[in-house]
Amino acid sequence: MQSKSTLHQAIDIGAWKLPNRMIMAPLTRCRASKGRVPNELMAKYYAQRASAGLIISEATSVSPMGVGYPNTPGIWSAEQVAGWKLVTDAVHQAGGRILLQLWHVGRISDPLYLEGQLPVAPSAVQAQGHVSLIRPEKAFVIPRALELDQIPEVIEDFRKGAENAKLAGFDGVEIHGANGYLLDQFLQDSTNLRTDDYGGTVENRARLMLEVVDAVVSVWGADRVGLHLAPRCDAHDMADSDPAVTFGYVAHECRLREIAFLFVREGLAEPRQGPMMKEVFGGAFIANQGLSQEDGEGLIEAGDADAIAWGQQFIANPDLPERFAARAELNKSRPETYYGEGAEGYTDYPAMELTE
Amino acid sequence: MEKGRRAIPIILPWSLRSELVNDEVDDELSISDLQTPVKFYLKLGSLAL
Repeated sequence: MQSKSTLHQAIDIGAWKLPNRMIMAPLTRCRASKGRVPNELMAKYYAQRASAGLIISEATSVSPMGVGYPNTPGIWSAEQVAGWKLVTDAVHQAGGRILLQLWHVGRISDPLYLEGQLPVAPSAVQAQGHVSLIRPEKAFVIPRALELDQIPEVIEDFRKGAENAKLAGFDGVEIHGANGYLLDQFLQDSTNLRTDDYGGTVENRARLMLEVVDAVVSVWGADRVGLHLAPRCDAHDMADSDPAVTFGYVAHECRLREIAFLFVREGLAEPRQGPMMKEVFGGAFIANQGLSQEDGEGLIEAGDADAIAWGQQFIANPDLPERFAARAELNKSRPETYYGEGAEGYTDYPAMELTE
Repeated sequence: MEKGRRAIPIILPWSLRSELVNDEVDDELSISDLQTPVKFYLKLGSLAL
């Protein structure tokens, strides 16, 4: 019998008792039904992966202005809440735990996704690149800078999303503060050129993110809230002049708030901010991006992470924890079906016993 | 596409998204642990709109 690795040790993170340290990362799959409503197929997909120590749902928009992709789910309508209830019930019946990831894309969108409206952002700074899944390829537009008096509305959208997540039966929430979406756009100085209380100093640039954290904590309590960050600033044309200071400040503020965890998408290439952020934060630290099983075990053994998140491996291996325990071969993922239609490449990856 | 004819951008329907070939999957969508920039290539020669 194989001895269990550090990945299979139980751990308490915030209010949750996790049976293992393998986290299913948030993964956009574009399978929601009309009205951005989660469905039975999504419930099956998540329930298949319930042996993860913790599932973090795919990014889920808190408002219609926060979407930038087709068929990604929302959490602002009663229909969406009912759809998500199918998912949480299925995961819980399968013995799992699931958080909802709260999302606003900001400038990474297009009027085609926003009923003709311009995407919003901290400043009117256009992202390089093209809009997802629109053809012929279309460049991102210059977004509209949010007016100062419109910012409370964004915070309220996140608060309401957190409240709806509770109604939908989730075990907690993760705030998406990464990958060049709205909160990250405010945080980093290449996209935030504001001169008011939400721009300039790191304290001002982090203000929206932290006010969202506070609003969400007011709904869930700090021990059921996590924050997702990407300090490598490598997504959606992002850049920051001093990531160590910027992300160190956020980690410090999260320490003061005693939120349940930081999820840091960074990988192992140097330079890394993760070790500094873990030390400053002092709470549970989830490492992510391109890690092998051995990498994950090594990070936990060295005290550099408390849990490890995998994305593509969980897409292709619904029973990833069992496969890691057996050191079994992994299914190969089929990227051409990541954002495709229906069950193919979604709920048809076989579990281990069916593979042998 | 015919000369002088302007393509109208559309959100790809599901049926055409499955035609996407991504030999490396990019940051086009928010998959959390992708390591490499992703680029999608279309096999949509017939999509003249």
